[in-house]
This record gives sequence, structure tokens and C-alpha cells, in this order.
Amino acid sequence: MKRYLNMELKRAFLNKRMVLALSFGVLLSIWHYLGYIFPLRNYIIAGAYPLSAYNKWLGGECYSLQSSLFYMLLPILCALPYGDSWVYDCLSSIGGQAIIRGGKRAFVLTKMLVAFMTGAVIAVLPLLFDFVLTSSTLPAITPKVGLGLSPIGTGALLGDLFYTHPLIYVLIYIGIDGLFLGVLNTFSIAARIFTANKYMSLLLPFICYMAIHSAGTTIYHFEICPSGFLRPCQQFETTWEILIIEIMFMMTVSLLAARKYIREEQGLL
Amino acid sequence: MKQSRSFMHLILYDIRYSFRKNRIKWFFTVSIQLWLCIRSFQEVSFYGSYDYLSELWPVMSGASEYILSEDSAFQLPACWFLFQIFQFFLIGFYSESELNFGNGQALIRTHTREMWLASKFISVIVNIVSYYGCFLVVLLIGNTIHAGKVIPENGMIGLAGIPIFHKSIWEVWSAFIILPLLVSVTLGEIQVVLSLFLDPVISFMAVVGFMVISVFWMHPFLIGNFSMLYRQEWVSGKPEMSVDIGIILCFVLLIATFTFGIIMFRKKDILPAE
Repeated sequence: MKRYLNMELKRAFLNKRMVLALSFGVLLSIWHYLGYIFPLRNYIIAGAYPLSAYNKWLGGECYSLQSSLFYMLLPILCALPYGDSWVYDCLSSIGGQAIIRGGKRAFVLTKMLVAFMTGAVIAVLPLLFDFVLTSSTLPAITPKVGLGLSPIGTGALLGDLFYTHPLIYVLIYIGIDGLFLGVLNTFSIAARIFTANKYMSLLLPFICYMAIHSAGTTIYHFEICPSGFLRPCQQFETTWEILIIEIMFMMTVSLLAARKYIREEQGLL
Repeated sequence: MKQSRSFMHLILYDIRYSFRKNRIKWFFTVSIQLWLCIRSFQEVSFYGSYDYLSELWPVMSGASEYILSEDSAFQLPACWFLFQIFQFFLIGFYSESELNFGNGQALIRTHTREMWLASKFISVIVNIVSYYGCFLVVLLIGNTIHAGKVIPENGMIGLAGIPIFHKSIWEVWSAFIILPLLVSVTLGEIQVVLSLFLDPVISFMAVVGFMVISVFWMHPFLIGNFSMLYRQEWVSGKPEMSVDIGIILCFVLLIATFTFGIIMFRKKDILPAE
């Protein structure tokens, strides 16, 4: 399994689509920096009350286009490098070869694990890059509750932590994003259970993400929308229960799909 | 004569197969449209009187101009966004899959690439018109059940209080349906052309991104704005957002897309490279 894992990791991380997905995130971040952060340098030099990097970075605000675009398209970006790999393996008989050599369980679990890792990396790296970039211009001042400069309330998820240890809050929140989108990205592998269409495999995480978004926003239950609560600025406030239930639900669906494949007589072909 | 007959056959084939291949998507289309209708009727019910325009409003209205400030929060209009995005998901993959996974049979039998692409364009138009038609029919059924009217009796759209006095049926129809439909067709054609040269998923992503940008910035060149009633001139008061300008821009873009698509498709290496 280790050899197969290495091979799949290389396949997932060393390809043009990975470069494209990461570049898209990084370019959005640079665009955001040039549009909103860089013009503030004169404001800081003039000695006005310093604006905090925690309220201004890509994940820390809800008003910019770049932030909205990033969180809207993130599931597609996460699925781009590796999402259609299983369908491709089935069509090209690589899957059959891998199963004969390493066993079905190793094959399926490796696929799931690598899909999780690609999703998490694509979600996390541009955010970290943006936070570092923003912090290179704006001071990382601990936000104050009473000033109303931050969109996060003390009642929000980890709200108290944000006003006491904002750096830990940001790192934990980026970690939550990575976990959520990594698990969501395993849907692109689990999609093989429904379809042999590679585009559907790639888009299934986005479809699920949009389905929850649309359901939540049309019935005014914004707390269930990951497009809002995954943003560290918490455009839509959620609770730990909802977050954990959504992650557990996605994990269960993916694991059930994996189990079905492992038990299937004909495997994946 | 023989060529036009083969072109007709191709168009019929594309229409038939684009529907057949998307059967499951059409099932979800009807479900989503039913859901949107239910939401729309729930909103209208607060105003007591049911009329077709007020029922269309929650889905077609979009969002008013976004004013960027540090206190604002950018949010997409949920019903409009869902309605718009799903149609691009519906139409975006047929042409590319037909080219690469159908062994190019249709293309070989067509003799000319221009006809093949034109046929795909027509199938996109038919699919989008059907998408809108389906929604209008579902809404009309709901309206009839509620014994509603087509035009509000007092000339005001119930939800938004927008007056529609001195507007002919044609003007109302153009603003509510024709222009959004034209915008959808234009963006759908652009998506199809992009999907033939880029990856269909990337072209879908580009169109979704374009719609998000259209909500963020109000500008006539971001034609997604014309599919939102709140952004049209008669509501927003911006002369550059008039229905006429929208229609002209859409036609110009349609012609440009078709011409560009034909020129590029002639040069395209159609053998799949993996």
C-alpha cells in the first residue's frame, strides 16, 4: 500500500491541474492584496489606528469579490487535480492492474486518502499564503471586541478565541477548512458509485456544496451553508454540532461507497 | 439539398440525445424548479394576491447593486443563482462528450465542422428555452391552482413594490423572460465554445465565476447583470442597463462567439489527447 500511496501522491500532486488550482488560489490572493491591502500602506504610515491583518486577509472579511469567488469555487478547485482519477483508472484498466497487485481495499482507501489530502492542501495553501502576504503589510494586532471592526461575534464559533488568541483561531479555522474540504473532496472518488462520467466525478463535491448552500439560503437556515461558515470571518455563523454532523455525514457516505466497492464482486471495472 | 437535409438530421440528433443523455439532470431540474416555485409562492403568499409577475420576481430579480464597504457582506441572491447555475450545469458537458466519447461519429457523418458546431449551438438554445419553458409552466400551474392573475391588478409587483404602469405586455415579457433567456443562451454558447477548447469543468467554473462577478459589479459588459430584474434600467434607473442595450449586447456576443467558435473549431485537433 505504501508504494501505491507514493505513486498516487505523485500522480495527484505533480500534475498541471494541481498547479492550475493552486495558481488560481494564489492569484486571487494577490488580486485581493493589491485591491484591498496594498492601498492601506499610506494609512498605516500616517499613524492612524492600525488595522489588523486578522480583519483584512482573504478569510477575515466578507465584503470582497475575491473572497466570495474563492469560497464559491473551492470545491471545484479541490477536485480538479485528482477527482476524476478513479474514472480514468477504470477506463484505462490501471485500476484492474492496481487491484491485482495490491488488493482492492488498499486501492480504494489510497484513493480516498489522496483525494482527502489534495482537497485539504488546495484549500489550505492559498489561505496561508494570503494570511502571510497580508501580515507582511498590516500589523497582526489582536482585535478588540467593542470596536466593531471585525465581523466575528463573541458568540460565533471560537469567537472568544478570536479576541484572545487570533493567530490560533486563524490556524484552527484554516485547519477546519482543510478538514471539511478534504472530506468533501472524497466525494469525487465516491462518485464512481453513481456514474462513470468523469465530469460528474469532478463536480460532485461542488454539487453537494451548492445543494447545501441553496437549501440553506432559500429556507433562511444560513447556519448549514458551508460556503458561509467555512470562511474564517464566519459570514454565516454555525455551531459545532452542525459542523461535526456535516463532516461525519460526508465521511460516512464516502466510507460506505468505499465499502461497497471493496465488497463488490466485480470490483470497479 | 443533401447538405441541408443532413444538417437537419444532425440538429434532430443533437436535440434528442442532449435530452436523453441528461435525463437524470432533467429530473433534478424539475425538482429544483418545483422547489423554487414553492419558495416563490411562500413569499408571494404574504402579500395576499397571487399574480404571475410577483411569483416570477423572487427567482428572476437577483440582487440590487452591491455597494462595497467594510461593513457590508457580499451575498449571492440564492434563488436567482441556483436557477442560473443549474442550466449551465445542464448544458455544459454534452458537446465535449459528444466530440470525445461518441467516437466522433456525428462529426464524421456531418462532413463539415461548421455544421457540427452550429448544431450544438442550436441544441443549447433548445435546451435553455426548454429550461425556462419548464419553469414557466411549473409556475403557471401553481398560479392557476391559486387562481392567480398574470399581471397584478394594481400595477405593482407585490414583493418589491415596483410599479409596472405604462408598460406593454411585450415590454414586461422582454424584461422578465426574453432578456434573461438571451443572457442564458449567450453564456451557454460561450460555455460550449470554451468547453471544446478548455476542459468543460473549467469552462463551467468560468461561467459560475462570471455570474458571481456580475452580482458584485454592475456593468453592462458583465451581461449576467441583465438577467437580474433589480439591475435593469426600469428598476435601477441606470440608462446603460436598458433592455435594448442588453439585447444588442447579447446578440453581438452571440455572433462573436459563433464566429470565433467556427474559426477555432476548424483548426482544432479533434483526436483526443490523454
